Amino acid sequence: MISTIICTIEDPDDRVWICRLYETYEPLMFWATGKYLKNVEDRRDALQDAVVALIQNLDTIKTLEPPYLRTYIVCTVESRSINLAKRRNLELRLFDDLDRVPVEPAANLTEDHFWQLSAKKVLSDIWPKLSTQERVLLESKYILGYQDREIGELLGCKASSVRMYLTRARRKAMELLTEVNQLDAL
Amino acid sequence: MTHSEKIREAYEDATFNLLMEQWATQQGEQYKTLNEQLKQDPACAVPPEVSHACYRTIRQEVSKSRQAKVKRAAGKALQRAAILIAALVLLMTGALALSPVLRAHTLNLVLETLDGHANISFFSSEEDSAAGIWGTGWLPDGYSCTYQSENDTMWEFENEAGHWIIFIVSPDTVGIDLDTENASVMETVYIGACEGLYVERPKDNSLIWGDAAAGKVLMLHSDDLDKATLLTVAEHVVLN
Repeated sequence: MISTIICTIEDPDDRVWICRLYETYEPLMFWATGKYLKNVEDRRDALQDAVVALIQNLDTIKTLEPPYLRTYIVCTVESRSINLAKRRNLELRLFDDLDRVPVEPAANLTEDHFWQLSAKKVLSDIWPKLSTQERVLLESKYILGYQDREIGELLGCKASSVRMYLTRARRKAMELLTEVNQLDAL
Repeated sequence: MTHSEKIREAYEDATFNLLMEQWATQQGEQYKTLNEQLKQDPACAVPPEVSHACYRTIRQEVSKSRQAKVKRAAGKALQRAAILIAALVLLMTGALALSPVLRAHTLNLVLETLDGHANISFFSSEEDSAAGIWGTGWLPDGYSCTYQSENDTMWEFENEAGHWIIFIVSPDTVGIDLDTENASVMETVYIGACEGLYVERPKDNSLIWGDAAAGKVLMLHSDDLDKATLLTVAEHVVLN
């Protein structure tokens, strides 16, 4: 019974914590819904979905450092917005027919010099050069920690294709990164 | 995919994970600045109805989450309690054979701790049960005995309206099956110094108690009598 009592004591803190988080980042969260949704009602619903997702992952997000947490929040809101747009059949051309794009084999994707973490230019420098599709794919995988099935549902492609799409997105990012670092070295 | 390709993919994946963490941290700093700018910009104000809806969602979801946690914790606590009770029953069975004093107290304990279960088992006694014929010293008006078992362990009483009372005396070596599934009331009661259990169901009520000194379990069952009347009947049960 002690654990039951502890639960009832802990949760008011959770409510205060999530309320403060929402209060702090409400403008950012609302702004993030606007990337994929225009209508205020849709944006409100997506924001509510995002709040639910954050509460369900409260144990995880409480451990995140503030800068990473902010990105996690924005990625969550974007993901929920995309999801809502798909549910409501809103015009969202970003992910149409993803499975019709031929998937190339992933062999010889990298060379060792691609994978240098000490490079001067980092992902932030080439991030805008990636397509929205690629960005969402990478965020879902590496920031939100989605499984292939969840990513497939979000992007409208088969779960079995997700790994290949990820490989392609990583390769493109690394190629761009190598390119800007080589230019930087000149 | 070959083993080598799998290892290479895992390596790429891990490396990219680190790059993404770096990206997320830098992005987070930009979001901090953006958030401050948005707060200052009246054109970017969040509509009040959106705010209200989100705070309402927070309240509801945290409450749901709390209920789920409490249910999980209560479930675990009940499981632990059930294990503890089972262990106590097993331990006490051995001790009872050695100590009549302990036995007198343990009969009450088992009645108390098993009140959430449908089946009640009593452990065997090594002693001889007290001999004698039991009887009901008092019954509500209108009831008369319509059946008495040959071994003087069960009596049935009925009144003109067709309502009935059943009185059973069993040795404490037998298991008692007590239907508690639809019970609306289930509480510990005392008949003199003996601890018992009162169970109220939609169509009938039961009173069961142990007389450790006599080595008997006694049970009253009726379709009409309420708790107070059953207790009065129980208090007048006598060993002739």
